[in-house]
Amino acid sequence: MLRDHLDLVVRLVVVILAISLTLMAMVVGFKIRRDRIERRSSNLRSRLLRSWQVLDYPEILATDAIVANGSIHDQADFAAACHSAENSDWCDESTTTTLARAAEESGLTAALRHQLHHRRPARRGLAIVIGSYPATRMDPRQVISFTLDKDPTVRAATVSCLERIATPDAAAALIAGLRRGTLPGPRFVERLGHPWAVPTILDALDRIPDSSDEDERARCDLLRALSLAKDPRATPVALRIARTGREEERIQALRVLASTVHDAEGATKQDIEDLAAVLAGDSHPNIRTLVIPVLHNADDERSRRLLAGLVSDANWFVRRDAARALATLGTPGREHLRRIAAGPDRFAAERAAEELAELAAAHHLRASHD
Amino acid sequence: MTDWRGWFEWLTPFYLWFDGVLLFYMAATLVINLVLIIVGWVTVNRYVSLRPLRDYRYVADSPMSLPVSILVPGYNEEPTIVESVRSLLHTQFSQLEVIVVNDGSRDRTLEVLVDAFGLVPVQRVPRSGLPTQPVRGLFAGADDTRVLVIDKENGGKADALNTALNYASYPLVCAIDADTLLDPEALARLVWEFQSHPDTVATGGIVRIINGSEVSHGRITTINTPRGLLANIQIVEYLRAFLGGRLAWSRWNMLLIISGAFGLFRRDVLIDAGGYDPETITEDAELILRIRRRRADLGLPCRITFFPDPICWTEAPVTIQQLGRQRDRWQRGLGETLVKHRDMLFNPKYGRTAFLSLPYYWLFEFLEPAITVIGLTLATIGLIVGLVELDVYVLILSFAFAYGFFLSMIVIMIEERAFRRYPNWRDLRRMAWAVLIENFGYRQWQAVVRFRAMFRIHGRRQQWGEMTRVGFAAPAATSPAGTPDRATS
Repeated sequence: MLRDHLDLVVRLVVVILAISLTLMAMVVGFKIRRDRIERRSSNLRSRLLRSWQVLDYPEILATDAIVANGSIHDQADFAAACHSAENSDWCDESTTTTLARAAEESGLTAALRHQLHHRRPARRGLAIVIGSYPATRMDPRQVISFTLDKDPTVRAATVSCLERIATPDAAAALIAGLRRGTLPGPRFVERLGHPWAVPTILDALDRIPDSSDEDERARCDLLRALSLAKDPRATPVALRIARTGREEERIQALRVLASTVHDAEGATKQDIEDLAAVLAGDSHPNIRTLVIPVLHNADDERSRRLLAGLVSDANWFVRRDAARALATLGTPGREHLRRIAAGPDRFAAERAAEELAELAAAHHLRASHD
Repeated sequence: MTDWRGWFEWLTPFYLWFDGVLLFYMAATLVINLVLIIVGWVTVNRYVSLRPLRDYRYVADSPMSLPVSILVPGYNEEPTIVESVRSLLHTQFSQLEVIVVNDGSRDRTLEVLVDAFGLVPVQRVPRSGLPTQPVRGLFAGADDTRVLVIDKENGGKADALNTALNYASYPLVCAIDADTLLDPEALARLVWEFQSHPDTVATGGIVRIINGSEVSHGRITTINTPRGLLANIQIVEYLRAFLGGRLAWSRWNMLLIISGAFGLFRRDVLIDAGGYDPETITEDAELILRIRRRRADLGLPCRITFFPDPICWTEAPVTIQQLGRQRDRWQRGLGETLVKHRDMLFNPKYGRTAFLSLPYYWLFEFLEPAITVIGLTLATIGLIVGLVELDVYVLILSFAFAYGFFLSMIVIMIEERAFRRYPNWRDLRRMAWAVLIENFGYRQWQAVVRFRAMFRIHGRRQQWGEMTRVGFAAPAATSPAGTPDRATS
């Protein structure tokens, strides 16, 4: 009986050893395969960049064909190579023209178009990403529908692609996606926040009515995008909305003005500063906060007096920002702070004293390091 | 002469029943953990395929990305705190602030911070009112305003986190341990998750062990496995826990733990849930259950996920004593948390969490060491007195070995497939050796440590504990790492 037990034990041990060795072999095999994939990936990227740099047309055709029928790894490598090329100095218009021609001839462009309808989101996404580069440029109208894709990663890749394409059509596609709400608004805003999108945004602001909450949100998002673009072409529209729009739109319009005031000149600059002076007394604390950078930029006696007044504001954040702005306006600004610190308004005096104390400590620290 | 084993024959029905229960439990553990790992494998494959589409650099640089307050509670962190904070400031993320809380340290933690970052005393108004121990002072960088240091009376890690939470400015807060280093892209990857899924309230990244790796100026320059067997065993344990269990629970939105060493939360959700609980030992585990409970009570969505790519690196204990204390604490913390929220178990109000992940944590995480220790002890006694057949005994032992080995090998494959943080063959050898050796003594020792801890679960105010830190450049002595799931084994 003991012999039967031992026989069973030995069998169990053999089975376990066999399973263990099989697993080890699988892990080793897996690692070898991964090492091979890494080497292939590195080789492919080198080949791509080398052939593009010297415009070796036969090699470009060959590598494009690999990518057209290749794995997700191959296409990801191609996308990474496109990104590197885009940021290099050797990639000029003749290079992209040659690459586009090769992509067409090798069948890569056709393969990517077909791949847009692949069932796997990774494949669809890669087709969109690669198609956004000049070397394989897709028509933005082909990709706009992917802002509605069921996979959020593909939707995010689509807006990224439209930003890279950077044409009025791409801007229009982004605005359409924003209005449909297929991604959170900020994801469209950050992609639209560029000078190339400004004319399309201004046109959209003219066309979008002011009738519903959704429309107001869209207008606010577009104004936010204008503030990121920092383009003076947005100033007239922002001035108009800041005077007459709904509350949230006025706040966003003020952001636009705060971003463009540094480059404004002459009458436009005066208009912005005059508006800021009026809005320093607005009932909404966010508006009062947003005029502070404009007043700070003006840096004249009127703006310093207005900032000093805002140090007594009922809102803590307005007081803080106004005090900070004065602290960075040199001696005249600090003089205002000293007067406030000695004044009868306890909260304003505290805020001013804190700001002066922090300034003094920072100055002392720098002096001790010198 | 009478066979003395005959005196125990009356126990035969018990042992028959016991054999069956034990084997059933082990089979159930294997099946469940296999399912978790398979789901984890599928999830990670999907993630890897979509990774080329994710533009993390854009998230890091965009002015429209959600800004993050990084909360760093610290107690006696003099050797490592400056390098930790520098590492955080070099994180590839444009809009962040770092709030370090000096929780009544007895060393020069505050002084080294003031010197290193040119801090000056400032006034700040707290934005929320979580109760904490008194704050003695606030300091901010004169030139780099991203750093805020809060000096306060000692109150424990949870209390320190709540203090930092009160002064945090941004909508997302990231709690990390003072002795950890973040991968440069780690924050951007987590923020991406919030931005692409707006119903996310919390997300965690993977904690990896830094022992053996080279660090320079707060950044990891070379990743290596350490030479020590104990640290390598912990590397495999962490991989099993994170890549085996958490991926699957996250996929199903039933995750119950985000590691305290590295987690990103919506600030408003944290405050609404009451912040961290200073009365629990492992505040990270208890917090997630409380957030789930609160969101369910309010009828609000509660997406809590684990993301395997953003990495935080931490020192692992290298002595058996420190490791034992750490595992003891984790087991007590887990037990405390489960007991505290026991009314959620099988409560339909809490959805699938109540019927799937909570029972799993009770049966296969918390009670597992008891079943292991009692089961093996009884089985051994039964073998000696002839009530357990040798083949059944060997079957039990070999089952335990094979199952642990099998799961560990699969997670090493997942790691190799998706991340390849350890590309050298030497590292694979060390991990494979650790997987083999841990079955001969280490797992049994750990089961005993955790089993003993189960009898010491009681509400006790959290303490930091005594630690000896030596800094990142040298091999670690000890540290309380974040709390992964207990490694599935």
